[in-house]
Amino acid sequence: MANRRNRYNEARLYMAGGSVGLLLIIWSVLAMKDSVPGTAADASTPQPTAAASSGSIKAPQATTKPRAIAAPAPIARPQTRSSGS
Amino acid sequence: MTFETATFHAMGTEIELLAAPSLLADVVENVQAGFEAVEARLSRFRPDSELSRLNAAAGRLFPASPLLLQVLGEALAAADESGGLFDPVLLRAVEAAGYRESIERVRGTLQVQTLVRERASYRNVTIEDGAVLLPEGSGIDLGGFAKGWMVDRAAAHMTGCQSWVINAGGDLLARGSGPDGDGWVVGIEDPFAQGHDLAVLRLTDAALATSTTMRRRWTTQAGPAHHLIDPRTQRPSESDLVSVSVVAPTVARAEVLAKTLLLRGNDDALAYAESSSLSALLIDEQGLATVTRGMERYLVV
Repeated sequence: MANRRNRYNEARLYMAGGSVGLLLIIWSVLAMKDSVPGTAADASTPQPTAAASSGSIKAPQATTKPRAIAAPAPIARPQTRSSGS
Repeated sequence: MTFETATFHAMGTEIELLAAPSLLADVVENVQAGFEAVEARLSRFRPDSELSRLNAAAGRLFPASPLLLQVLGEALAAADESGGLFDPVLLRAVEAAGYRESIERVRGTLQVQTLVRERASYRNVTIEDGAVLLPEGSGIDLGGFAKGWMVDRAAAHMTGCQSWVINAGGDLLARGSGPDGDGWVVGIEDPFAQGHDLAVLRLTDAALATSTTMRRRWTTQAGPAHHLIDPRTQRPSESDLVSVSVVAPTVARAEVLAKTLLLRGNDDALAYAESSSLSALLIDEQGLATVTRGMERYLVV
């Protein structure tokens, strides 16, 4: 009788351990999925925020500060000319 | 800020006035009257001008007006300073090269080159007691020098204008800092491509003159010729430079320097310009442009 009870307790322990293991596996899979970068809806990629009623699309909002680029110096347009004599 | 312009024709070229922010009408009238008065007296193309009468009286003492004495005196002084590379007593050589009438007429027909019978020089001209004595057979051409001289004098008529430019066919005087406060923007035309600029300068209180062998040209029985006579040969220059621009305090000085640098040829001109701290841009017959260190500070592009 005692031996049967031990077997019963042993079976419960196996079930409990298996459940915990299964939960661990599911948790691991979910955790791995979250860590892989997405492709279609990556949060770091700017997306059009809305389509206006006229059909034009608003410019995407920048997520990073634009790099400052020096504008080329404007070429001065001559106001008069020395053509030679 | 804006600026206004006005143009008129005088001394064989287009005169352009620019003023910021506005150009007064009476200023234009006064400047134009000044150019016309000098042209009437000093043009070699007008038989009744005082200069033509002086040339016709070569060999005899000719009582001259204060204007003729002034301009001729300054031209002779510039000739002396240039060591003879600039010489106003080259009329017979210019005529012998085929340039006997206005450039519009000369261009239209085949000209005949002749030999210069007698060499004359500024050293043989005498000015005494208000009279001029030219060597017999010689003649004076004040063309470019008189034009530059007049631009310098016309400054006196620009009263009431804050900042302005007087441009007489490419020889110009810029006063003030221009419409935008950082100088007048002036293009230097490419001698091989009319209407296109080879360089652009910013000028404040400065004069600029360009001398070139590519504009006043005509055809003779001996081939193409141009108006820039080398006093050493009495013939159109064979320099390897085709255009020289100089920035100087006055237009008359810039004009003489541009002409004499061109006559020197590329190597000598560059060496002389650098040793004399001149602001010059030299263009050779291959189209290669060289600027002196003094010119670099004016260059925009």
